[in-house]
Amino acid sequence: MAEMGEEIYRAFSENLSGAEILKKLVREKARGREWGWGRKTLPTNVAKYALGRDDDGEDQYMILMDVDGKREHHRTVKLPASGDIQSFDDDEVDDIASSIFDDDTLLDRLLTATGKSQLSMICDAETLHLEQSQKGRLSAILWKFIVTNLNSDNPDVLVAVGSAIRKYVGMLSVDRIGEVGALLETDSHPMLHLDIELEIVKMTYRKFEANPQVATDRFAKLGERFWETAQDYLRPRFLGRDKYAAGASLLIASIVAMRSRFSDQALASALASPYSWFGEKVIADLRNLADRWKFKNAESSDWCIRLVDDAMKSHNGNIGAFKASQ
Amino acid sequence: MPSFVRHVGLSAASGSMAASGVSVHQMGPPLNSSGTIKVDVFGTADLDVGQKQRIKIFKDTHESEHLARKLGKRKGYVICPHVKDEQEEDGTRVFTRFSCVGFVIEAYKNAGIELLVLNAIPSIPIDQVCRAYPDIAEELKDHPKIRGRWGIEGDGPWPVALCGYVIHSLNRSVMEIRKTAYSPQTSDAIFP
Repeated sequence: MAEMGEEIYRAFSENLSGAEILKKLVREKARGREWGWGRKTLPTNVAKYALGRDDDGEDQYMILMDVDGKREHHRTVKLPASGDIQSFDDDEVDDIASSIFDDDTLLDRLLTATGKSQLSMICDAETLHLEQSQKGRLSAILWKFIVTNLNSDNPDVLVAVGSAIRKYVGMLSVDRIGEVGALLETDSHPMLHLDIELEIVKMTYRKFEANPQVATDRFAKLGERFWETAQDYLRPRFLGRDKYAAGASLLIASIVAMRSRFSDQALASALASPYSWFGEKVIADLRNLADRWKFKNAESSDWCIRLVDDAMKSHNGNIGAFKASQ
Repeated sequence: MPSFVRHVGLSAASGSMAASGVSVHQMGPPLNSSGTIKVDVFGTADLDVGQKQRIKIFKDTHESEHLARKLGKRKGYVICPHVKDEQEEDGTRVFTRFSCVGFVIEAYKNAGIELLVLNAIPSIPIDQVCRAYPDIAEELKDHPKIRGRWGIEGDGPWPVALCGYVIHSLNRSVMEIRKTAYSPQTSDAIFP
């Protein structure tokens, strides 16, 4: 270890760039020399930071050191993928350090984290592939975070809430998807931010996309709530606005994917939109849905294709009748 | 002079391409709609209003996923395949990773245009992958485990979609672009 510290010392003394130091460390690592974080192996006074990799060679870390000539402490943080050299202040170090822990540790830290660290960890949790027991822990943490921050007006918090919604719904059993509809109820809280509504609807769609339904209207209340919201989004003066078209197309796709009793009406409304591109988009999405369902549940896939075909026939018939009357 | 095309994005507005500072939707990473890039080469398929709207819906649907990657520390970028859905056990898609060219390919796909014949993308060795990603070339070359995290497992070669392929696809008549997907050759990494 002393040898490795000496290497780093020399690297700094030689005024090598951060990237060059990284290369040096990687070479040393490849030679089987140990160096690591959490160990006092680095000389003080000269180093601002050193770069390296963790034990299995997967991550790049930056070791930060105080350079006051008196005390030595260093922290290890993950370097952004670019490999660029960056300076971090103390707040950022905690934030970045969150990414170097294993999944269990991340969950432990999530329980007590606050501020930017919490937001960062919530977002990182979205990328984890967890064991069943860990999923239960994470779901509880995410749900608490979602309901606490649902109506935040801080853009970063909303990004983290969106991330938490995606992971929470992703892990949720389709049997419990109706619970998600409660987030859309405005009785207990103010109207949701559009971005949050979009994530709820998108993930509801994706849950049904992965779990084709056989019964009609199994999630009656959720379907009703989505249809109400869809009618708001479908108003021409909204549909052209930022993100409303994405929301409206996902709402209609969700209504169909859950086989709500409003499926026909929702699809007919999409086709009747004054924006023909919107109807085309919805039809394309539903054809994709039928394709995805084909190997999971052929009956559901056939039902979806029939629904689309019938809606198209009816729509074209209406257009024909309209033209004939002119 | 023929050059290797390093990055592609979608122009955020129609019209002429200034040599510098064109607003783009791009998989930077992260995916964002506020970036600008210096344009060396551009192509167009003369998208109609509906196609542009469908691309916008596609971007709006995925953007929040990549804002979260930016706020966190884990990657939302993938080299190969050009697009990858991260799913839960039951198959529910949670978020989607793209390469920069993958984002463009999928955006056009949402507009009903297949830019490339995806199963005809030539496989390339690590040296050529590194040429496309010089910033991380060393780790790609020396660390198979790290390669895996970018989606390129094993020793290759891999069917990596390169930016130049898309430019060559768009360097055809509008009618041809709309009618037929382009089958790229490895030499198409360079343009013209």
